Order: sequence, then C-alpha cells, then structure tokens
Amino acid sequence: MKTLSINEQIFLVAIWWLQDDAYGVRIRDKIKEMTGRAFTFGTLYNTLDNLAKKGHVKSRAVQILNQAGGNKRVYYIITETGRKALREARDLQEAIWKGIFKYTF
Amino acid sequence: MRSSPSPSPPKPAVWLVRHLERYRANHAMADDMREVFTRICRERGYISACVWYWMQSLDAIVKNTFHSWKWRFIMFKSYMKIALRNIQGNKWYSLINISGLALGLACFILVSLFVKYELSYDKHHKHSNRIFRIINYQPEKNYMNSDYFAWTQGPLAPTLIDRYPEVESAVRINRHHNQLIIQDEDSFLINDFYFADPEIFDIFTLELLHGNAVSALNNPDSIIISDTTARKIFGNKNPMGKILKHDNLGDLVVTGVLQDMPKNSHFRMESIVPFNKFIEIRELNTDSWTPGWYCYTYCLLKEGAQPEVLEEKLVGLSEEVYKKNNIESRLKLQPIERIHLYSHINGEISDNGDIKNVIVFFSIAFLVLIIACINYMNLGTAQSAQRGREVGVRKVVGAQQRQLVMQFLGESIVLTFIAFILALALVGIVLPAFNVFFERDINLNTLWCLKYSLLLLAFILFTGIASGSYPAFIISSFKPIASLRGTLRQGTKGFALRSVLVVFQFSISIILIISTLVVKSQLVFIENKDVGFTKDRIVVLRLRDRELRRNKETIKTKLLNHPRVLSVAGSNYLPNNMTSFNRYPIPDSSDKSLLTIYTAYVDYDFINLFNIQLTQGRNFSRDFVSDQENAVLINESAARALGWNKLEGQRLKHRGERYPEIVGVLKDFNFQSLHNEISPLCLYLSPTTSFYLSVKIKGNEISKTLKYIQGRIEAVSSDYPFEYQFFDDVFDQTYRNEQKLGSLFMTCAFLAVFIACLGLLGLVAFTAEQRTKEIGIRKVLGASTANIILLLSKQFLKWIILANILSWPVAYYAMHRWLQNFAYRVNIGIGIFVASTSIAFFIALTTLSYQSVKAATSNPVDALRYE
Repeated sequence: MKTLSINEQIFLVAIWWLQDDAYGVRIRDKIKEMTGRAFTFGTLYNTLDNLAKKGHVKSRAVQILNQAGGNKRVYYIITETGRKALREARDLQEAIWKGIFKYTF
Repeated sequence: MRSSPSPSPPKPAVWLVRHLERYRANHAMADDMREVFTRICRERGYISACVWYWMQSLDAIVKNTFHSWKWRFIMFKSYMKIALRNIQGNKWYSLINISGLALGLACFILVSLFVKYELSYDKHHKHSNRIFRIINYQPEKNYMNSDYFAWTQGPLAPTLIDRYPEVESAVRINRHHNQLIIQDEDSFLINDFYFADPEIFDIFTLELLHGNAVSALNNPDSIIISDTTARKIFGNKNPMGKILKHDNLGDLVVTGVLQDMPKNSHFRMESIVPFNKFIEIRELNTDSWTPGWYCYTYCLLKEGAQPEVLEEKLVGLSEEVYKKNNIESRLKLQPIERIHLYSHINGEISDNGDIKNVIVFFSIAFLVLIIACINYMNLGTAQSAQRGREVGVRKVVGAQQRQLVMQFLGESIVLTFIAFILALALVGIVLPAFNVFFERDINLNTLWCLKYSLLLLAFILFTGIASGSYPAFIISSFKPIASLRGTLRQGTKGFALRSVLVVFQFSISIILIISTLVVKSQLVFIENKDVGFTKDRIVVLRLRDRELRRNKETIKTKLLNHPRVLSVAGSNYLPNNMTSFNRYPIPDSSDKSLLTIYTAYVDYDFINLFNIQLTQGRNFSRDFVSDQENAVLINESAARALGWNKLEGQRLKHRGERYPEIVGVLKDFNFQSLHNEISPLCLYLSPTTSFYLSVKIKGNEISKTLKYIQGRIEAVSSDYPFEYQFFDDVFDQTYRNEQKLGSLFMTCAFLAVFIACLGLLGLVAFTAEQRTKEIGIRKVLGASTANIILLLSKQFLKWIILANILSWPVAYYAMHRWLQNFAYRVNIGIGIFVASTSIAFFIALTTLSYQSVKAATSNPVDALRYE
C-alpha cells in the first residue's frame, strides 16, 4: 500500500481526534486548530473522497433537524485500513527522523 | 432552542454547490458550508460571509472538475483493461469481429481513396475553376451515343480572345498518338505528343524545370519535353538546345523541360510542339472556319466572369460562322473540373472516368462496410449474455446505465480502431494491385493531411458507435438480479433484430452474387455472340510508318510466301471498331435530312479474311478496274435506310463529288461494340490507307510465324518498333470497363459473403453453445445427429430463404438497368437466381455445418455435466 500523503495524515488524525463528531465543518475547524491551515470545502471533500475510495475512512450520512446549517451531515470514521496506514506513516516518519536532535535544523 | 431565522447564503452559489453535489453522492458540502456561513455572518457580517461563500463554491467547482477528470481517467483505464481482456478472452469472437470489420473498413478506405482521387482530377491547376473547354453541340448528328463533340476549329481560340472581354486567354491544343522521335540513331515513341499555343502556360499550371515559359514555344521548330521523357531520351544529360528529329516535323530544338503533369489530369503531355508548326505542316488556313475540326480549345475566363453569359454570346458566333456553311452547331462551355467524370463526348482527348462508376463503387463499399458493422452488432448481442455477470456486478457496485453504455461503446471503438489499423495495412498491401487494375496513381499518403485524418477519426468513431450502440444498450439494460442469478434468458434478447440483420446481410450478399453472375454472363455473351466476323488466329499489325503503308502490297506478297500465313488484309479500321462517318442524302426522299453512314477503307482481302458474309452482289475484285475508283460495299442496314431493295446500278451520292457504284451488300455485322445497334455502314476500296494490317495465320508455331512477319516488316522499315496484337485481345479491350466491373462485383460479392459467413459462423457457434444442455437432453432422449443439425440450422436457413426472396427484385431491377447499356444483351433468366440461391445456400450450409455437426456429435454426457 502506498504511504499516506501529509494531507491525508492530517485528515486522518483530525478525524481520529474528533471521534464521533467528525463531520465536514468540524474536520475543517480541527485541521485549522492543528496546523493553522484553513482548507476550502472543495479540497476538503476531494481529500475525504479519496480517503473513502481507498478505504481509509467510512462515511455515514445523518439527517438532523433545527440546526443552523442544513439538515444533512456526513460523519467520517477511520477504518482498520486507515489505522494501519496511519501506523505505517508514523513509523516511516520516525524512521526518517531517528537519531536526529530536534533542533538540528 | 430555536434560533431566529438566519440569513441564507446567496442563491446562485447555493444552486451551484447543490448541482455539484448531484454528481458526488455522499456529501454534505452545501449543508456544511451553510453552517460555517451562518457562523461568519454572526462574527463578521453578511457581506463578508457572502464573499466567503462565493469563494468557497467557485473553488469547489474548480477542484471538483479536476477531481472528476482524474477519476474518469482511472475508470477509462479500467474499461480499457476490461476491453482488452475481453478481446483476449474471447479470441474466437474477437477474431471474427476484428477481421470482418477490418475487411469492411479496408474496402471502404480503398474506395474512398479512389473517390477522392477521381474527384481531384484537374484541380491542381491554379485557376481550375475558371478553365473551360469549348465543345460543340450538334443536335441530330448522333454519333457513338453522343451529339457533343470535343473538336473545334482553328479560328475559335483567337476569335475568343479578340471578341469577348471575359476571356482572359485561350489555347488551341492537338494531340497526336505514338509519334516517333529520333535522337542520335535512337528512336523513341511518344504517345502523348501535343501541339499547343504558348498561351497554354497562362491557362494551365505547368511548371518548366528548364527553359522559359514565355519564349519556349515562340519558334515553330521548338519542342518542350516532359521530365520523364527527357530522362528516357537523354539520361542525365542536359537536354536543353539538343535536336530531336521527327520525320514529318523535321528538326526540333528542345527549349524546355516540363515537370511531369500529375496523373490526375484528363490529359498529360509528354511533349509540346508549337501549334503553328502543326498549321505549317498541314498547310491550314487559320482564318477559315470551313476546313476540318482539328483542335481542342480551352479558355481561361477572367475572374468573376459568368460562363453562362459567354455561352449566350457564343450563340451569335455559331450562327455567324456555321449557318452559312449549313452546319447546325452550338458552342458550349465545359468546366475542366467536370471533364474527367462527367464528359463522355466524341473525340475526348483521352479516356475518361465515369461518375456512375464512382457512385457504384462507393455504394458497394458502403454496403460491405454495413455488413461488417452488422456482424459486430450480431455477435455483440449474441455474446451479451456472457457479459451479463460483469454488468450485474457493476450495477450492484453502483454503475449507472449511462456509464455502462459508455463502456461498451468505448469497447467497440477500441475494436474498430484495431480493425482500422489492420485495414490500413491491408489497404497498403492491396493498393498497388488496385492501381494497376484501375490504371490510377493513388497514394496512401494522401490520407495524412489534417482534413482527411480528422475525417477518418470521425469515421472510426462513427463506425464504432454505429456497430456498438445496439449491444451497448441491450447489455446495459440487464437487470442485475437476473443476470447475477443466471436466470437471464440468454439469446432471446435482440433475437428479432438479429434475424433482421442477418437477413439484411445476406440480401446484400445475394444481390452482389446475382450482379456478378449477370455481368459475367453478359461478358460470356459478348465473347460468344456471333458478331459477323471471325476473331481467331488473326494478328493485327499497326502501320504507323508511312514507308510501310506505301509498301503495303510488297509486304503482303512477302508475308503470303510463308506457309503459315493464310491471308493478309489492310484497312483503316478493324471490323470491331469503325468510328468515322459521312453524311449522305437519302435518294428519292422529300426531306433534306442526311443519313449518317459509317465509313471505312479496306482492301480486296478484308472481307474474306474476316469472313464477313455477303448477301447480295460481290466483293471488290481486282478483275474490275473500275472498282479502284468507283465501288462501295454497304451493309444491310444501309440498304434498308436508303430504301433500296435492288442494287443494280444504284450509286451512293456523296456530297455531289463521287458516285460510287454499290457492288455488294454485306450481312450486318457488329462493327462497333455491342453497346450500339448496328448502323448503316459503307466500305470503300482503298489499297493505300491501311493503318492496320491483319494477318490470318494457322498452325501452332505462332512465335516463329511472328518472327517471320517481324523480319519482313523490318526489312522495309524499322523506324517504328514492331507492334502486334491478336485480334481477339483487341476485341476484348472494348469491353474492359465491363470486365473491370465484373471483377469488382466478384471481389465485393466474395468479401460480402465472406464477412456475412463469419457472422453466421459466430452466431451458430454461440447458439450451439447456449443450447448445449438442450442438445444433450435431446440426444439422451434419442435425437439423431441429423435431427440436431437440422435443429441448429433451421432458423438460419429460414433467414437465408427470406434474404433470397427480398434480394431478387432489387438485383433484377439494378441489373436490368445496367443491361440497358447494351444494344445486344442477355436475358436475366431464372437460372441466375437459382444459381445465386444455391450458392448462398451452399456457402451458408458449409458454414453452419462445421459448428452444428460439432455440437451434434458431441457426447451428451459432457454437455449435461458442464455445470
């Protein structure tokens, strides 16, 4: 399996943090909180689609009432494949940085 | 808690986002964006929220577009993979499909190349749309099926330039065949030997490799030769300023080398001598409109000039110059671009093509292509059940019918493309033979211009879509449950259509078979028809050399010394093609109309050599001295037309100059091709104007006899190369067009039948496979092999019978029309229909039998166990 891209890693981690609350707006907010980058919804959903197609996340549409936004939300949840991919990505990161003092650069 | 109604985002942007979402199923983008919108609205106000919303939605559109293209590409890759796997997996069907399509396409490409070539005639001249040939229309003077004449008189071209302001330039051209040119002892025959005014360079786009177009034809003793001719005569030496000898024209100085004219010109010049030389030699008076029609006149109109207007004005000229000479003639303009395909008038400068042939070829090729496409549709639908499972799975996973249709169309386009490449290779192989056959110079490279390649691309797409559409819609409409469970009633889908298609295919094939048979039988009829003269064992020599003609009697005597030479006769025409005529008044008739009587000059032995029968009177005879001056033979038609029953003392009145006595009446013989009825004919005695010398020989050692003849001829003069032909070959050449048509029909019929049989083979194989279990059970229950074969073949045979019945009237009508071209023709008998039906049946049965016998003789245990 291909290694996750940095973007994908960020998305997956954000979804993991949010647990049951991981839907579009929250994921975007969470990523902004984590990295300071505000994605457009276009990019957001493209990446989420890709992750879904690769089987890293599963989506679930929920009808809700009386909310300020609309009446539909799609919640995402990490699958076992996604977890495994994240583990591998982290292993790779650590392998790269192994033995290098944090403030070297 | 219920919040107060919040402001909503800008409507158009919302519409856009919703629209996007329709293609991306599990999204909540619009709702998510609305949530954030509300938040921003609260924090920073409505305006900035709207700006934000717009930015977001536009960005989404851009991203989405990129995204979907990426996925489309990935899906495309997957479709390609499946398509290729299918081709590999079903080698048998793919082979049938691709080879059928390739044959059909090759046929079509070849013919479209031919059509393109035929349509390109004379378009290479820069002003081709302003160049016209002046022709004569002489009503009532019907000659060889046309009353238009290409010949014009000498003063016409100068008059055109002088009197009519819309004429920019005009030229007189004359062609001589097979002229002998001598250079340093070596002699060369030039077949396209032209005389032309210097204006020829203003009118036509001709490029001189050496020499100056302005001055090259100024001196009457100059000659321009084509590049090829220059190479033939001078090799690599520079021909400029060299002397070429011509026995009539004297010494000619080479003043120019002409780049070879393209083969798609209705006349191609190998050499040009100034027209003034021609006038000088013939001692013509160029101011007089009376003597002879001896040149072609081409003119270039000024830009914007209307040819109709000029034609109108020329009526005046015709009246002025012809009326006083009692000639009924009108001058007409003929666009040069139309000459090759549309002009079949008397005295054409060289043989032309025919738009009818172009149309016939094109439609036949198109029919063959349709047969190939039908094959694809047939096999595609028949095979569709096998793809049922794949379609089921795709549908379950979420493919829409639209996507499936696209997939299958794509597959057929891929297949067409492979077939197309094969077809191109095939065309490349066949083209040289095709060129020889049609005497054309077609090059495959003409395919590679942008316009034509786009056309071809469109054509591939069209063929792919046309042949793939039906299977695509059938397959994609399968119900996933049925196809996955395997309960899909295989083969019933599209059964009606399939039978219609097979019937159509076979109808076309049978029409082509019938056409082939009719053309062939007409050719056999021509071959065997008693034309009234013998064709066997006659060698024909052309006497181009004046020296030979002068010494004809000596040559005759010498040739007759050989034991195998039976007789020798001279004539200015051969008995199968006498084309010149005169007009005679009808005696004792009140009206002043003239009778057209074809005329030929023969010598004493002509009638006997060709075994032409006399019904009355006698042949020319050396015993009657008066015969030399004053005798004529006419044929029965002439006698009838002149109203003479008794010949005693009748004389033929020819323009008041001569009154030759009629010494005999010939039995009617076909002195022209069988296209024409036998017309009145008269034969004059003229021992000296023999352009042909016919030699009747016997025995087996033909080559030795020929050697002898050659020796005797060359003893007299060897300037011209020794030319001979057998008379039956000469006779056959008249029907070359028909023979070509026959071969073409045969090839196409063969192709059509072959492709149709491929389709049949595929279908029956498929049916047999589908009914394996049924056949197994039938066999277990006691059906014989014959029963099974009948079971499998029955439906196909029904279709073929239907196809026969449908195709008969069409073929009959078409061939009946074609036969109208002949004055003497075969009847389309029932035999031909029976024969074509039997052929179709035989071929179809042979095709069917292989598969059905295989199915019928297989062990039922295998059939029943296969689950």
